[in-house]
Amino acid sequence: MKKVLAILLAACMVVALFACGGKTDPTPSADPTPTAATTPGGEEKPTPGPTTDGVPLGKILEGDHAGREKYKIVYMCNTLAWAWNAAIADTLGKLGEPLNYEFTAWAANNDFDAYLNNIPAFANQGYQGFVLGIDDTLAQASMEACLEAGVSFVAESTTIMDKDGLCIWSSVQQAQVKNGGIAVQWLYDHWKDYWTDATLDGQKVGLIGLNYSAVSGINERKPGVEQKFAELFPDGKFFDGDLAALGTTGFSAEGGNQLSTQIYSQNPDIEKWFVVAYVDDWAIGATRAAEQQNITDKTLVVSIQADAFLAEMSNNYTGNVYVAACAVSSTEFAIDMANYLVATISGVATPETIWPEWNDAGGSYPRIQVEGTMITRDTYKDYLAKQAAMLP
Amino acid sequence: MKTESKAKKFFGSKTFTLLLLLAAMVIVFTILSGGLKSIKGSFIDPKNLKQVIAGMSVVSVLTIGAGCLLISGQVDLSAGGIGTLSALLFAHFYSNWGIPLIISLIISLIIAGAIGYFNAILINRLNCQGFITTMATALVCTGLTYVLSASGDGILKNIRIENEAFNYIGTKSVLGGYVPVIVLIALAFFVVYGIIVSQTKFGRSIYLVGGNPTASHLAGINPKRISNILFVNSAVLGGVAGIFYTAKMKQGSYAGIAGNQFAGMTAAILGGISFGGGSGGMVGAFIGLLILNAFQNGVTIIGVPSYWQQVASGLLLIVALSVDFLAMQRKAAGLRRTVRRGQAEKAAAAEGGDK
Repeated sequence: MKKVLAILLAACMVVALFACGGKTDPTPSADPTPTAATTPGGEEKPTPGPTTDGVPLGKILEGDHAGREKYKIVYMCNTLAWAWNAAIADTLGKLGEPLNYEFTAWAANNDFDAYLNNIPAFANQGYQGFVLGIDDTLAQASMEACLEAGVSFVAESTTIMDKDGLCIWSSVQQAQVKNGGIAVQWLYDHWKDYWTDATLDGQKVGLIGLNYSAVSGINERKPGVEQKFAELFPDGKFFDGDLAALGTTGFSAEGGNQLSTQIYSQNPDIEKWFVVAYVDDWAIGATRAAEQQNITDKTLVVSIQADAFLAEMSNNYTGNVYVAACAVSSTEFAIDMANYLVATISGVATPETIWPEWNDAGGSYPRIQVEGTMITRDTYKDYLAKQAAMLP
Repeated sequence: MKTESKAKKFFGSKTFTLLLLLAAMVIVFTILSGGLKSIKGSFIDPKNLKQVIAGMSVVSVLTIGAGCLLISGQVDLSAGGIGTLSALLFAHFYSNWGIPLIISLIISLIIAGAIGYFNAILINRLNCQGFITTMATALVCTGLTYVLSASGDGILKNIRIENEAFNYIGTKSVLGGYVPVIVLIALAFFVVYGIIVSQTKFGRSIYLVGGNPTASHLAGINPKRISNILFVNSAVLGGVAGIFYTAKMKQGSYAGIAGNQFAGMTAAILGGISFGGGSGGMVGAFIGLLILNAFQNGVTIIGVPSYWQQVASGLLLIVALSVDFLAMQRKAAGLRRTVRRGQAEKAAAAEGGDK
């Protein structure tokens, strides 16, 4: 009996493996239709272009990529269920063709030990380039594992720093503080478009900043939001909606929903609500919470990062609650990181010579800061077209 | 004759079944990773096997703790949370307060044990449900971890550990660079616990408590005392796992090992430790851990996408639980048959006596 069961178990495993073997595209892509991005002030965002070392930002690295061996690149992150990570993985996959590399995305799903162990495992499989989608917890150890494995790598969204706070490896991240400010400025400039006959009583205006303080890269958006809100709505009330209070499950649309429901209902004196979700998925939760509480006519939600917003738009969202997002281009991120890896693997540049104009003062490694642009129902298609135009 | 029966016993044992499964797994992954053409880059490439072994360090101690409790018929969902908290405390003691490394280590493990004892009191004295109690303790520990990590500006910070010997244990390998030092320590834990569980009176008590608490009580064993010890043990081993993780990362971290909690339990169950208690052992748990790591590494290197890896891991656990359930049913049916046969024999003997 036991042997039969063992054979059955092995057979189940084999079937499961074969069933799982077909490679799937890791990302559901947002609406591919076209676009134009504007800043709150309506100005065009400066287009990233060539840099002093010849490795461009926001534009695919030129060269005879087809004429060389195919590189192998892996994106290692905690989860691919977040819209942002999924978008990065999707774009890195698409860039594999023009930049001639084979691509895999891998998620640790909170097993950080496995994250570290899989760096040498992938290196052993011949992967030469690593995009490390990490937080502070893993930064240092991941860097050491990559250095030991002798592979090229770049950090996504987190700066790897030494104990004195000096940036010790290259990274691509968003302009955290600035993007927070851009989102609030947009709310200030545009609330009248949605609440046409309203006048704002400063004391009865509340802003919920949906945060997750456990991740410093996200928490850094808070001062941008808080300071700009204090500047533009000096009598307004700021609510720090820290999803870390809900544990690791807080980092989700459901977490955003729970916490905003709580804050809406505990503060009936607030007549007009602004919500800035520091991560786009949470804006969905805050929007559904406003719908459930029947306060859609007095709530405006915006997010930093736009993939969830784009998904809502492509799902024909018709409401007037989740109205805009500070789109930080995951395409731009992915292009910069792919360029970095191809350039450093092929020897066109080294981690110490690439993008010197982006080095911290006194530092030797670049820290690219990607700025966001606000998009709305009216402008998101132009934005998407612009993003699509960045890819071949 | 004796050798023959020993061999027969081995071939009919859970250990043999597990080894068969492990072998099947190695063969499948080797084929799918191109091992028939070239060993380099395949599943059985020694460099890859090193990673399979390296992945065992943190989870191994959690597996031992979970395994001992499962044998006694209990479950602890807080070991990961306790481990994260005590490791962070250790980092605080050593790096921020300047307490010597060994003393920091001992104090943090004592705190872990105390939390385990708190679990035991709630469960064994106040009769709280173990599953819920330990889940609540895990939440408390996670919250405290965040509180301890928060700096003045509200941002959670990790605490670096700068100690050469400690970092050596966490990051270096021996035996030609193929066996991480930390894995050797984890193996020592398996050996020690293997002996305790299978060769000592205390170990036999755990099985008796798990298999039949009433009978164990009648046999003069205090099941609550055993349970108390095992909850403390599970928490301390959680603390050890946290320290292992800290040594690997060279820092105390709020993220910690909570994510490894279920891997530890999965390995124990895969290794044949019954969820119903009273069966399984450390050899099986060790092989279960090997199976789990080989599986996770294998699906990664053959390029199974992440979402599907989770599906496959879940399926593996479902199959293991089903096998466990079938085995328990078979055992119960066997017992029923034995009892019926005994009763029939007794009745026949009584009938003969009457005549």
